[in-house]
Amino acid sequence: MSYEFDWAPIWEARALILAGLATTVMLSAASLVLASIIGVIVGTAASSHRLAFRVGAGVTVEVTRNVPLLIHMYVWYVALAFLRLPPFWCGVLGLSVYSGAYVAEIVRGGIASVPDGQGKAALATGLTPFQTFFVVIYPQAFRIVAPSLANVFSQLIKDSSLASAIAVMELTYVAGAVEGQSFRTFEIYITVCGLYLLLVTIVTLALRFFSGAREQAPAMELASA
Amino acid sequence: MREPIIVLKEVSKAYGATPVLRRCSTAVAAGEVVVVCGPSGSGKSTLIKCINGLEPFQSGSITVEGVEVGAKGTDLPRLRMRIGMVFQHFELYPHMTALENVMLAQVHALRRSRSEARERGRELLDRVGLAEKADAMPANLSGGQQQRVAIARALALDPRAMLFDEPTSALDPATISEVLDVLVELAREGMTMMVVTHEMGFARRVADRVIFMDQGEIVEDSRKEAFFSNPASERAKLFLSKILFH
Ligand SMILES: Nc1ncnc2c1ncn2[C@@H]1O[C@H](COP(=O)(O)OP(=O)(O)OP(=O)(O)O)[C@@H](O)[C@H]1O
Ligand SMILES: [Mg+2]
Repeated sequence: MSYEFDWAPIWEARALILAGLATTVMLSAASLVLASIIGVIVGTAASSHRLAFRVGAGVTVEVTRNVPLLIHMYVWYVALAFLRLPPFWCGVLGLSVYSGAYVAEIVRGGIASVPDGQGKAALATGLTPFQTFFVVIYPQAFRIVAPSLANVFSQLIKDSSLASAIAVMELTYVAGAVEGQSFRTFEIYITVCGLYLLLVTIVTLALRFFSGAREQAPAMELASA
Repeated sequence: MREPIIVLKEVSKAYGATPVLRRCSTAVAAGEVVVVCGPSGSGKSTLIKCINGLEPFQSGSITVEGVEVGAKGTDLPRLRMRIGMVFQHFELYPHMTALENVMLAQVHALRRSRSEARERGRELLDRVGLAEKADAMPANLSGGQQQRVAIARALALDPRAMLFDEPTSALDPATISEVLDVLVELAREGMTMMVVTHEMGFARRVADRVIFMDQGEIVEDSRKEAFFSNPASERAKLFLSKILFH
């Protein structure tokens, strides 16, 4: 018995699939931005010389990472029910907080890999601690951790499929719907796999480009923009 | 007596139970060149890092042009702009060109325009003999060249005084003189300088005073001539005999 591929139903559902793809892109993009912000703040606190900051950041990261992502999704969904937040934003929160913990660990490691004297030199020229981080420490740390960040971000894109569990109509959710109507199981999941692969590849290449571009181009143009 | 720029009064500091500075007092007048020497671990680096607030201290007071370094409300970034600092390991920013290294604090701390900062940066690189290296990355410069860029970076803020922490001890012997020449010229131009170094030849040539430290204490603080011809303490005598005739 051989399976007959029939792509016509997939093509007919293209509008739905594209809408799902768009939702996945927005969900991932919003979460990526928010996870980066959370990660930078918590990761910087984790590298602080103040014990209270380090402990606070460490506990946050451990707790967050040790709760499964699906539970994060449910927690935000249920906890924010009284706010009547759309499922999309519950999904963004769940994903950002969860991935933010991983970004925080990477940021902490990146900061630790920049020699202590770099910060001292920047402070000695009258830069504020804030400026020191943004123009001297983060750019150097970023180049070191870019590959690890690419991993977390591609994981984030794949993890966004769990938002289907709280009824966010992203790609995986849509795939289920199309399959339910057309029974073209293989066709729809092959299509969806291809789309996820495409997204992950774009993000990975983009990060490689940005971390590499800084090596050649004068970095200060970027830093002082 | 010229007005003092840097004044230390009874400065003490400890890491946990280990004292690293014990009641250190001295003053550096405008235009004065003070060399700080002493055995490894005696607290020389710690002392000069306290002056621009990179290291906190527990008691005593340090003032820079009358501003209390350790006071709560002190605007440290502003104070640090007026004292340049040069480190043993250069600490150039590896992700920026030589010129960008010299421009960075001008733009972000002094808020000069980029074109003004660039112009001043080129001027200073020229002054330390590195005009043609403006666009080089630090990794492609020799140690001596990196240290000269670091000096230009500190001078870019038009500081009232300069602190040097063993500026030549990470250099190979062949390039030490190119950095010392820059220091000598600065001294001749009247820059107020505090230099931690073991280059006693340099001290003899340009220092006004020599401070000798041991175990966190300022053991001697005397005119250069007196220090070299007739050190008052046994510890300084021993130290001098070791570094001059090894
Ligand atoms: N972060 C620190 N924690 C604990 N002890 C420290 C720390 N930094 C420095 N020390 C100690 O403080 C003392 C003074 O150190 P410092 O670096 O000021 O000496 P130094 O005179 O500059 O020595 P060197 O000639 O080796 O540079 C040393 O005994 C050192 O071990
Ligand atoms: Mg030292």
